[in-house]
Amino acid sequence: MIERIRGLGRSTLVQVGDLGRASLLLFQAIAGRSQVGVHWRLTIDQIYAVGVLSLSIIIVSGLFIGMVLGLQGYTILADYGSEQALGQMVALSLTRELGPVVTALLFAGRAGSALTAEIGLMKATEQLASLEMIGVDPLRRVVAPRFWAGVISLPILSLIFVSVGCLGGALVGVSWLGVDAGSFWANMQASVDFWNDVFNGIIKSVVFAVVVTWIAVYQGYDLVPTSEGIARATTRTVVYASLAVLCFDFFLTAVMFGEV
Amino acid sequence: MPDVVAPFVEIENVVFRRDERVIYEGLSATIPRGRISAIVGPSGTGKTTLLRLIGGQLRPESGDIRVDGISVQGLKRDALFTLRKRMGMLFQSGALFAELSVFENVAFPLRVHTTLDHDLIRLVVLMKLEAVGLRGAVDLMPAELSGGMQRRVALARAIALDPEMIMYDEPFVGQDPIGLGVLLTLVKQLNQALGLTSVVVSHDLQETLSIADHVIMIANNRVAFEGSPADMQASADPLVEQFLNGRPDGPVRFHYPAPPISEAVS
Repeated sequence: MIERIRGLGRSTLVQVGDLGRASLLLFQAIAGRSQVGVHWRLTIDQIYAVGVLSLSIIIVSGLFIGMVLGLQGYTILADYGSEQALGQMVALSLTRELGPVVTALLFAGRAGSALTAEIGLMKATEQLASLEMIGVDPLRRVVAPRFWAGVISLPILSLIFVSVGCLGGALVGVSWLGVDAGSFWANMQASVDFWNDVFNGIIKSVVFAVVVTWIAVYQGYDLVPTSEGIARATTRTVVYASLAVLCFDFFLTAVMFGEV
Repeated sequence: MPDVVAPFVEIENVVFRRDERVIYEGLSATIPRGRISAIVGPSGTGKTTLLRLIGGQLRPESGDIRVDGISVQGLKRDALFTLRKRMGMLFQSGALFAELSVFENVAFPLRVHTTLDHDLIRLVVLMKLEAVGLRGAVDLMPAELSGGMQRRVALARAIALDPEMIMYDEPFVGQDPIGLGVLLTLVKQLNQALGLTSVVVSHDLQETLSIADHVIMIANNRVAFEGSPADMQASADPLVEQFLNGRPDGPVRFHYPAPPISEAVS
């Protein structure tokens, strides 16, 4: 019994310590003197690596999710004779929920794991240590550009996901199932509010971006520099980031849409 | 050779622990200026750790490490990075930046720390690469080089800013006899030509002793021997003797601590 309580205490301490180290890492990487000018190029490179290279998976997933929404929505709405509301349904589900959440989950799997593995490999091959010895802070040089790239890319990817999803919904609803194009788009336009729906969706994806990228760079920076350590840390990134996204989504939704 | 050279690095009574394991228990040593110092000792005694302590990448629990009179462990981040510009370090794996070419790797410290223009950087990089015999490899990527060549490029990078001291972490590991000979010559030449203070961590004992002016042997959490290679050869200390002659049993035991075998098998 005592042993169990001790174990609980120990694991709590480890977790609090982890959180502290992660916060310190983020603080040291992005706080203090701004080096945006010097590191802008590096950030651009990283935006290409985490953002542009994630485009294909985001577009394909967005298209399919939109098409599924169109199909499922149509069968349900048709029961009540309100197929015209399909555009509204597809757009609202995407902007409020599916866009930010699914994009963040895909991003954690595609870009987050890659970030962790890359930083981890740099640690394992002593590249981080050698940056330090050259007198360059790896937190600023390696971690900060990757962090900013994630924070900038994910919301944009999320917007692209939503747009492509709407097109997918239209493809199925209008071109295939025969919903009137005019009412599909008009309903969508009338019901989606920029501040309430689109902007809240963007806020969500900015929060997810910070959480996912932060977890990814921390796991990479803090891992045990062996092949096993890198494998574990990559898995942890995807698991923790996905859980964090879903958990934060609930609270954000409660705050944003809970009073209606 | 007179042995009264001003020290470049002074290590005083350093205690260092990693988790629960004691690495150093009151370790003191000096590294003379402008000479080649060898840090030798059995594997796992924390020879590399000593380099990391000198470079300020790790901090001792207590004790003092002074580089050219400056206490390393008390330094703030910025001051530490400034001090590191005066030291170069060659890592075991070379640690070249994989996404940069040989040229960019060597140019990296120059670009970060100086305001030299493009032509001047090119000149310096080519000179440094010439010194390690790899000017011809200037446009290759690190992945296209052999392990020994990677280490030489890393060496060129380490001396790019003309440091006062260079630390070599196991430079001879995994080298064929030719590569080893090349590196030995380079370490020696750089030391003489540039007046560098050199610290070589290695367990290739004979090779290292052949170029060293000063030997620090670490064993059992402290300095087991410090002095010239000749003194080391002449030492009557059983530990030093066991190490020099490569005997499997002696003060450093062959058996990992365990209860007597009669108890274990009964």
